[in-house]
Amino acid sequence: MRATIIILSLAVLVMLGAFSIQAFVTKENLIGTPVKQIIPDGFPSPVYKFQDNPLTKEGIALGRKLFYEGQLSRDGITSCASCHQQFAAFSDFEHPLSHGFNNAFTIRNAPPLFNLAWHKELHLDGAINHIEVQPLAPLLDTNEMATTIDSILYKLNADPQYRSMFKAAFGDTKINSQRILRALAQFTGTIVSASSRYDRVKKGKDRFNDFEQRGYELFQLHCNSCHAEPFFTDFSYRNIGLPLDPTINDYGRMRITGLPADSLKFKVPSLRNIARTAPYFHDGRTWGLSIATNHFSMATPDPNTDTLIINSKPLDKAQIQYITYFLRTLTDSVLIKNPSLSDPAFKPYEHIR
Amino acid sequence: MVLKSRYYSYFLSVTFISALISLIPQPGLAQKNNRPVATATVSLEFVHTVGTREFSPDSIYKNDFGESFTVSRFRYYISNIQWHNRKTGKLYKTPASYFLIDEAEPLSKQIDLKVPAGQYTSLSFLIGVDSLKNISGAQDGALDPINGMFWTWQTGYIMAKLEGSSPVSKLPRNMFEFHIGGFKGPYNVLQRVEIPVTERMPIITGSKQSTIRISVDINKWFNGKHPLPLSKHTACMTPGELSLQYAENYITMFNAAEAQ
Repeated sequence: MRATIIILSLAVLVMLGAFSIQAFVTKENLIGTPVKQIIPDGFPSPVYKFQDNPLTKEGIALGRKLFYEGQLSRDGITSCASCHQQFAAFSDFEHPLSHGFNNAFTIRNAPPLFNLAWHKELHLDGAINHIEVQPLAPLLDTNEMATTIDSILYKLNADPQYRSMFKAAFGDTKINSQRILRALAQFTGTIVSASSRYDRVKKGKDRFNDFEQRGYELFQLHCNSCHAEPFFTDFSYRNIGLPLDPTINDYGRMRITGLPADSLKFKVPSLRNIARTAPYFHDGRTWGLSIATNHFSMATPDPNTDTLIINSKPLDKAQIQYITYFLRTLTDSVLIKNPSLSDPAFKPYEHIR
Repeated sequence: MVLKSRYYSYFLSVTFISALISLIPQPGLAQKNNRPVATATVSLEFVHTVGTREFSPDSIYKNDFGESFTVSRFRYYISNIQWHNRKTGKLYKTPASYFLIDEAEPLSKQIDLKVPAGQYTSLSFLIGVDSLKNISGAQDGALDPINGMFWTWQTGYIMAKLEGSSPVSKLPRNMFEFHIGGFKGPYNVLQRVEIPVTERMPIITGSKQSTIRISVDINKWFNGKHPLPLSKHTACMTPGELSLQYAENYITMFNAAEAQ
């Protein structure tokens, strides 16, 4: 009987051993140091969950280096960060339209980059259906970075640091468009803005002053059917009655759907960090935050203009002032100053003398 | 009695151990136990023609409207390949099959596939890339955007591309350019082409390699279901009604010429 027990225990040990070897093998197949996606309190489940692109420290580090890499452009200087600057919440500071290769201009105001993992579609007209493929647009557009995938692969393969970073992130030194795009998505997809004063007030860790409080109440009354919390956008496309600029001829969403009803519709922008992203609207036509806030009064409605705009009551000067006080509480200084989102090649001490 | 019970317990424990060991997951064993069906290698060979003439890149051709033209680029995706036996209802789907056929790349025009041995009455495939892969982010291999078959201004694969020139064209260098795509809504160009395998076609067995030669007639691009002469259209680069018409034309390009 004792022998039976010994043999049985041995058998169980063998079993456990076999399973742990299996577990070990699976663990070994994992590349890099896993990172958990940050989902702030009150945010719903994200659209992009890094399903086929497991988040790792090494993947994010590679994406961050690529984001600040001038070699990703034809002129060797223009990087993603050229038009998406951290101090401007990753929008293009004080640029109505951005300029890329050979002084060519874009047709739209560069949007700020944060909370992208919650966007079902990207670009102001929703042209891009997945965060991973978005960078192809600015990389290849002749008025932006004006490069080719071949050229990027050539430059990155020639750089031993990149080869080792791709190995660290993906297991070997192979560099292809999929790996570049997935690494970039690991960086841009983890830029999260949820640490503004507004967020602290929501958590009970801070308080609005009287002006801000009054502004928040007005905001909830007049603005949040489109600029819905917690993202301050409902991700929809709307025509707010801004007339077509005939020098640009950008019809927005209609360009993608081909539907006349989508004429001059653009994605509702998030108001998070809005005080940092002037000038405003899809083509940066307006500078002041209080002027932009009063966009109802600028509307010249056409048949596609949103009824919420047409039926809106005009706000008086004081109300607009209160709302802008509130909007300033949406500036996320944690995002803007987070050193882990800055240019990894930037050495502050080199600039201090 | 003591001895007997000891043997009995040895026997019990050995049985138990074997039972336990059989529970240990062993990758690959499962397939071995399920006696596999013999697989056969089938080559699909795409032969590009204009009418009955085999295509060559330097030649000048005439379409059904008498318009002369040359072709500088001809590429299309073949995906989601399926093998049917319409008599028995048998269906085999070649897994994860995405192929870019490029006139300029001779090797791309032959696809070698493993298929369970048996008799098939037809095979079918999508011209283009299914909608799922159009919305699933960065891909590699045949679907790598480096192949120039991916729109960057609006996410989506170019399912088929035909470029060339014709004296009829009023565009610079008399060129014409058709980039056909669109995977959703009323202008979804994705269509399945079914190629019948006639009685004379081989029973696909493991013993020898079969080749199915599929002729692809470029003339049908201009005149399949819809007459689309070059005098009327020399460019189509966005999803829409015209794209759909070209797609409805190009699915008629494919015909099984012969099989061995």
